[in-house]
Amino acid sequence: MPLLEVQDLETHLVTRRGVNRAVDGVSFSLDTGRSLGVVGESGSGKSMTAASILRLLPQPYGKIVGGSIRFNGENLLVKSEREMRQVRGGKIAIILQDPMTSLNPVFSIGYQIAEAVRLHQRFRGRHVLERVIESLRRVRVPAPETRVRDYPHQFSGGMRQRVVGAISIACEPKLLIADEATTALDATIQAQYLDLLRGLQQDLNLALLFITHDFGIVAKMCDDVIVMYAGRVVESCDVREMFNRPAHPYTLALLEAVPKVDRRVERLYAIPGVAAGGFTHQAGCSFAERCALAQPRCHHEKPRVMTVQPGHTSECWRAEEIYNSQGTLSLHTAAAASEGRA
Amino acid sequence: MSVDVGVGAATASATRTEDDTLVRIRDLHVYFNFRRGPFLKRRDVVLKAVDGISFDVKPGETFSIVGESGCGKSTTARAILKVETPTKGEIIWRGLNLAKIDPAQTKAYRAAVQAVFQDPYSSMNPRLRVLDFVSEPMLLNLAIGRKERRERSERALHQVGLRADDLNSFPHEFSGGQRQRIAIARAIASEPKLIVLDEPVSSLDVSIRAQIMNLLKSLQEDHGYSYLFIAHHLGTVRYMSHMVGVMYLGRMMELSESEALFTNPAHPYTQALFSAALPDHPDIERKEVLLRNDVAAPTEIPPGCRLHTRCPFAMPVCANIEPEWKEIGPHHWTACHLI
Repeated sequence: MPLLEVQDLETHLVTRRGVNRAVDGVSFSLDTGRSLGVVGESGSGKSMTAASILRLLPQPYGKIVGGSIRFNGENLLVKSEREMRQVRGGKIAIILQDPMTSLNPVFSIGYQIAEAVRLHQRFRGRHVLERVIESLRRVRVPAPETRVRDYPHQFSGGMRQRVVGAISIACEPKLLIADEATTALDATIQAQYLDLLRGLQQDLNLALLFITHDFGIVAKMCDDVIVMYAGRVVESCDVREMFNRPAHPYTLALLEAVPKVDRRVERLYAIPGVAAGGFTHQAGCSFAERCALAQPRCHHEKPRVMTVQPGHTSECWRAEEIYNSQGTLSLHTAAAASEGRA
Repeated sequence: MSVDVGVGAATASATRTEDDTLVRIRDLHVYFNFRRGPFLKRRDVVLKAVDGISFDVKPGETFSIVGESGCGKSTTARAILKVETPTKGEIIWRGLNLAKIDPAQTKAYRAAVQAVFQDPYSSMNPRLRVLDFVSEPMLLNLAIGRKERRERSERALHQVGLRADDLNSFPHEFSGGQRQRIAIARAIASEPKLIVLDEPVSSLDVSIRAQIMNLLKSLQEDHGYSYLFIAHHLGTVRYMSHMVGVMYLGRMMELSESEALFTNPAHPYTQALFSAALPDHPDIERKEVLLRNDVAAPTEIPPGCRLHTRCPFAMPVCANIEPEWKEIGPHHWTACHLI
């Protein structure tokens, strides 16, 4: 049984402009000790998926309207608010992008880590302090015995994010969600932080859920990956499969849109148009309008989930064709051809 | 000594082609003075944001500056935009020293050098129509009438892939990528020679980034603009650049033709920066060059080579003597005692 199993999750944001179907039928599962990357652009629903797992949706707009989220065999969607508080920070922890907003500037970092320990564990007195220092040591903050009394402003950006990491692992969670956790860090600091997370994952046998827009993080950290577009999972597979043989035009396009550090690229592929939001409702595939490989049926018939290989699915009518082409299907030429037709 | 280092690089790159250099930066220093500390113990502090750098920007080329936050790359850009005044050193614009030009020449300079910034939400005044925003540099710096300003704005908007009717809209009606296009239209409307691009794509989504980068490249090919490009994502830098300078604590560590730098980084700092770059594919394993400690404060720059407190290859000499600027290949210079 997987540690986390999300099935047909539907989350709506009800606003004055209408209903935004932020998460529109998302399914995936994650095992203990594995890491899963959720990639997508802004508005794809990746952060809303994370917020749904923790049931921390913006109120009063956010609402889970369908599907199930099973964690450790229990359905999180039927839990009371009181029970959810045991889960959040206890069994499932989250690290957000900006450590300065995650930490409270008027309390010492020791106090803030201890807060989590007191809430979730039966430690009292000096045992709490021991636990706090141990957490700080785990995230490799130098001289933890003296630094527990320091305040957030006395730490550098990278160290602050380590403190946030210390809070999240202090209660030995089973699942750690990193929502763009390293986006605000400098490259060298980011690399150190990712190495640290990988070390923690091995030591504590954590399941990691990486919410990111950066394929580099997926390549470095993840075992499996799901690609999201307009609230749907458009492709799901092993990480090497995605880089070697993507089976969805959106994945293909994203991979070709990113400039490479290790080789020279003559021309990047630029996906035309802008990402579809959850407000619009299309009869066909939501990516069809921007897709260089779209066929007439794509515009009026929703694609089914195709399995191109055990463990590799793609929500596209041409999935098999793209998968079997092994990269010979060029978006540049397809785009040029469709321009010529138009 | 630092002066000699700067001139060394100058003569070296000047031999490359005839002297067609657009901007020549020579031994540029930008220091900030302020007072810091508790009331009775307050003391004067000098923050050396840019501490002696030299480079040339050629017509039609992209010169990129990479480095971590606080290395002085944006301050360098601000000095070139004439927003900061250099403490020492010179910025020579087509033979004219920027410190000595008269007001009329300053106006011409401001029209010829434009900028696009990182965040298209905070760089636009929400109460100005697109037309006012795009034509503002022309209004301030060029002696042309309203009708021509409008025509040029329309042309600029068309060049960045927007429609002429968009001129009457307000910024909130556009997405981030479209706003960045408008910012580019503003920059090109006054027909500049140099555009300073300070992290122009880092706040955009992946698919929009590629659109903007390709747009910038085509504009350069069509109109011969020079770019001073500041970015931290190395893939973006490799894609955009002809020349790349690597900065650390206000100083240039390595300066090279772009492909030579990416295939053969010489300086330990450049190697560390590249080894920290996220891989393009899960099977890529990078050679690890790890720096020790944290970045030193720009108010207390270490003596000798400023990287020696962090460099994994530091030798005793590094703590005492600042390494000299050396040419190690065609269009490739670095300053390190190891080389």
